[in-house]
Amino acid sequence: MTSLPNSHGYFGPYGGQYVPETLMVALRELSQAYSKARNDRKFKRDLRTYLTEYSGRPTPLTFAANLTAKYKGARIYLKREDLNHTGAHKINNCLGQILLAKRMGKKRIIAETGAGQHGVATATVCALFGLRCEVYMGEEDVRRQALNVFRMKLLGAQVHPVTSGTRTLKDAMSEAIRDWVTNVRNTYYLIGSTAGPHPYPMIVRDFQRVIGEEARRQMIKAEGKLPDLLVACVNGGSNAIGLFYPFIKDKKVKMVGVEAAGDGVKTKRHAATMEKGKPGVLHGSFSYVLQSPEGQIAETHSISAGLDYPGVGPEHAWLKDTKRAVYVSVTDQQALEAFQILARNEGILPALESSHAVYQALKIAPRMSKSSTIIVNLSGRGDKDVNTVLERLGSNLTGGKR
Amino acid sequence: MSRALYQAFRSARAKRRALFLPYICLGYPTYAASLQSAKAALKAGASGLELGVPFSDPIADGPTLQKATQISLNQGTKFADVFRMIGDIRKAGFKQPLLVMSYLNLVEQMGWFRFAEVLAIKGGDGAIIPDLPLEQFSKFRRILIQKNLALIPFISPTSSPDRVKKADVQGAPFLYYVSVTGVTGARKTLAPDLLVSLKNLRGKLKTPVVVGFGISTPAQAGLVGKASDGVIIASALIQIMSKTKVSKIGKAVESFCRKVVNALR
Ligand SMILES: Cc1ncc(COP(=O)(O)O)c(C=O)c1O
Repeated sequence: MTSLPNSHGYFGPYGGQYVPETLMVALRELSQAYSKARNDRKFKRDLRTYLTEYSGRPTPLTFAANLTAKYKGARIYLKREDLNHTGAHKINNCLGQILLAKRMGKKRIIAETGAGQHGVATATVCALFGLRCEVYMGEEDVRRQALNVFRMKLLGAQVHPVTSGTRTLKDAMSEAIRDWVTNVRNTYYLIGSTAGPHPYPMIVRDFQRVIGEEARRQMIKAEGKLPDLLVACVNGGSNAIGLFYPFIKDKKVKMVGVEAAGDGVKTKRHAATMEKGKPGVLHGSFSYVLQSPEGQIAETHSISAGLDYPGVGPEHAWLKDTKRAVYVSVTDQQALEAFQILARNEGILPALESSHAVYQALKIAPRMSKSSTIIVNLSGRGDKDVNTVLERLGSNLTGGKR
Repeated sequence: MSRALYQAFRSARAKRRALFLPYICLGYPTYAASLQSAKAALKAGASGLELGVPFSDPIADGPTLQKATQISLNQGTKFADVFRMIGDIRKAGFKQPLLVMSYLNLVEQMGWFRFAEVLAIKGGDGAIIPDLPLEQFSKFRRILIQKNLALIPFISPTSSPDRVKKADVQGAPFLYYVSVTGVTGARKTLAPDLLVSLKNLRGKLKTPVVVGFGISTPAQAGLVGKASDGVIIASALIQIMSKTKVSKIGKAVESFCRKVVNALR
C-alpha cells in the first residue's frame, strides 16, 4: 500500500481541499510548513519532550481484569488517553500543532470545540506558549459543557458561543473557518479532529498516531503478540485513527470504529455518519456526511457533545470502503450503561464519547476466545460528563450494585 | 447560455461601463418576494443576476447572508426552486444572464450532469461555486461547457500569481474577485488597497474581472466599477430587503438597483 493521503490530499476519492479561494494560500503554507517540520529533528525532539514531560506520555495500557473475568471472553485492555494532561487524547494533537504554529510565526490561535475537550487542550497549549486563543463553541454545547467553558476561560482563552444553525460542533467549525478566512494572514486554525481540508486530516492523524504506536509496544510487552481487535469511538475520527493507523498494515488486527447512534439509527436523532450518511462535501473535505437527499447537512444528536459531528474524517471513509475497518453505532442508552459498568468494575469514569467504544468492546468480548485480546481506546475521562449523566440517571442511581 | 455572458462583457468593455450583478437569495424572505426582487433588479437595469441557493453551512458567508439563508431554508426552499425561478424570470421576458450560486455539496448531490442539463433547459447561463477549488475546476467546467454554461473561477487578495494565471486560462466569461480577505457582508468602507490591486490585476489578466464581497453603496459601486468589469452586491441588498415590508420589497430593490446602475454609468 502506498502512503495516504496522496500529494493532493486524497484517501481514494475522499479528502481534498474544498474551501474558498482565500484559504488556498493558507493551506499551501501549512502543507509546506508541516512537511518541513515532520522531518526536522528538533521539531520531533521538542514534541516528544512536551508529550512526555508536559502531558505525561506514554499513557498506560491497563489490563481490565475485572471486566475480562466478568465477560468471560477476550482479554480487555484500555489505552488510557484519559490520563493525559487535560484528560483526553486531544492534547497530543494540540501540542503538535502549536509547535507548528510557532514555527510558522503565528500569534493568534483559533479552534472549534464540541465537548470542549479540544477547546480546553487548545487553551492549555496557548497558555503554555503565550499565544492568544479564541475558541468557537456552539451555544448548545456551551450549555451542555459549562464546566469546560469555565476551564477555557481560566486558561485565558476567549470563548465565542455560536448561535447559527444547530448550535453545535458543525456550526462552531463553520464559524472558525469564517474567522480564518477573515484573519488568515496572522491566524493559525488549530483543528481538533481528522476533519477539514487537507492537510489537516493527515496532520492530526500524524500527531495522534502516538496512541497506536505506544499501544502496539505495550501490547507486545504484555502479551507477546499483537492485539486481535481495536475499538475506538469516532466523531471526526482522531482518537480512532490515532489508535488504528500504526496497525493498518497488520491485516490480522481487526478495527472497529463506533459512532453515536443517539436515540437509535432508525430515528432521526443520531450521529451515525458512516452508517447512515452519503459521500458529500462538508468543511472542505469530501467524505461521508449526514445530509438530506438534496445535500443540506442534517441535524444530529448524541448524548455526548463530542460525537455529534455530521461528517467524518476522509481516511475513515476510505478504511470503511476498503473494508479495512468496520464502523458500527451505539446508542445513548448503551453508552450510559457502559459508563456505569466501567465505573463500578474498574474504578474508571470514562468520557461519554469513550463509553461508546467500551460498550462495543463489551458486546464483542464474550464472543472472542480467551486467548484473544482487545484494545479499547479510552479517549478521555468522564468528569466533564458527570452533569449530563446526573441529568439522565437522576434518582434512578442506586449505589452498592455491580 | 454562456454566450450571453461573453457578449455582455465585450459590450461593457467597449462602452467602458462596468456590469452590475446583484445577488438574490432564493426564497428570502419568501419565494414570491425573491422572484419579485429578481425581476425588479432586472427591470432597474441590472446586467444579470447571481441567484443564491441557500445551504445549511455557508462557510463563505457573513451574518447577513447566513440569516437570509436560514429564513429561506425554514420556508422549505428546495434546490429545484432555483430552476423554477429561472423559468419564471424568463417567462417574464427578461433576457439578462442568470448565474446560479451554490455551495458544492448541493450540486454534488444533484449530480453535475443533471445540474447542467436542467440549468440549460431552464435558460440559465452558468454557475458560481465558492468552495470548488481551481484544482477541481476543469472536470466540472467540461460538463457545463457541453451545455454552453459557464463556470466562474474565484480569485482573492491572497491568490498567488500562479493561481491568478490558472484562473485566467479557464476561458471563463469573467473572474469573481473577492475584494476582501473575509466573508460576505456589507462594510462601511472598501478594502483600502482595492483599487490599486484591481489595476494591477487587470493589467495581467485577459479575462474580465467582477468584484464582489463588501460593496455596499451605489457610490462604492461607482468607484469599483471604474477599475473593474463589474460589481456584485449581495448583503447590502439583503439588508434593504430585511428592512422593508414584503409588499414593498420589489420597489425597494428596484430603486436601489437603479441607483447602482446610474452610479456605474
Ligand atoms: C474524550 C473524547 N473522545 C472522543 C472524541 C471524538 O473526537 P475524535 O473522533 O476526533 O476522536 C472527543 C471529542 O470531543 C472527546 O472529547
